[in-house]
Amino acid sequence: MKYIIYVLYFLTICTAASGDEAGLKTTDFYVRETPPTIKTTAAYGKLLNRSKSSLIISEISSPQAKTIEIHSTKVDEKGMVEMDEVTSLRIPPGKSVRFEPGGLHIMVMGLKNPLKAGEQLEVDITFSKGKPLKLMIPVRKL
Amino acid sequence: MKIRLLIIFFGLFVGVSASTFYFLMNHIDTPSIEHGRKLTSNKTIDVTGLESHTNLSLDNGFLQNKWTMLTFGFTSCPDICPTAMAAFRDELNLLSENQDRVQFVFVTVDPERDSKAKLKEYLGYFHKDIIGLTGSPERLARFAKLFGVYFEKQAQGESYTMNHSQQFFLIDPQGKLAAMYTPPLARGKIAVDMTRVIDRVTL
Repeated sequence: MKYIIYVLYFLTICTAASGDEAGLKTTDFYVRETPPTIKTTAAYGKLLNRSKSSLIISEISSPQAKTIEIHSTKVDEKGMVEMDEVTSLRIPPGKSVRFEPGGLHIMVMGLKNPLKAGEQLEVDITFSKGKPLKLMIPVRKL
Repeated sequence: MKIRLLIIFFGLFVGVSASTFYFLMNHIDTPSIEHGRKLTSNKTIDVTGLESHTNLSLDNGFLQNKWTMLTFGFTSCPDICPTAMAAFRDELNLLSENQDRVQFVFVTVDPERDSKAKLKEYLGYFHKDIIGLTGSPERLARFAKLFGVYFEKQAQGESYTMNHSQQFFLIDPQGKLAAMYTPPLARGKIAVDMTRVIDRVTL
């Protein structure tokens, strides 16, 4: 009996930490705290497609911000930084995308309220098919 | 015959010693900048006409007698610039013993949206000692050119972004460009280099 409780407890922790939904696994998601008066920030983390078909992100939004876009930071050989919007991000089956500083990131624009460490940012991701994903991303200090 | 051989050996000895000496001299001279690319420039960086968020007087004495680390960016930049400012904060904290001999400068490439008040709030969030510089778009463009960089608006309606260089530039106490760093850099690398250059040059 004791073991079953342990196993159940362990399983609960696992699912809570990995955020399993609709054949998707999300890991290490966080969003940067905003300096005063700044309404733009970025969220990072890893999204793994565990389903048997490709997933295409068709829409991304948050009730806490005006616009959310997936952007890719590119640095050319002269060190010039450019950010381009990625309008339809495709994740092949069994593959993952990693949002990370200096690369692909979830750009949050027009925040209604500043984000402070300890708070959460809701991000809703819609795919071209399948269930949408609601992420509660913890806010972290830089 | 013997004498000729002796002369050849002597010549070789002198040659080898001279090149070793030359090699060592060069390497003894450069290790201060280990994590960046050393630059040699005779141009003095001219800051006149720019404004600081703290209303410091910006004559050419601004860069004198201090080692300056400088980068370009804008406050509504979500990815590269906060990473750069967090790095500035960390390096400044590591350099606290030498705080009178270093300064860290953030030059906005978005003077339209980055007012002095905004720069103050933004930079203060990272470290109270980071100095924000702004100016007219034309003045800023001329300033950037001294570093061989440029910036441009990437039109996206009201929430436009700016393309800009991500490098950190080290300016020596004579106001001349000394080195260039390409982030991301592991924490402490800049502090190590700056501590070395400070120790080598007695002001």
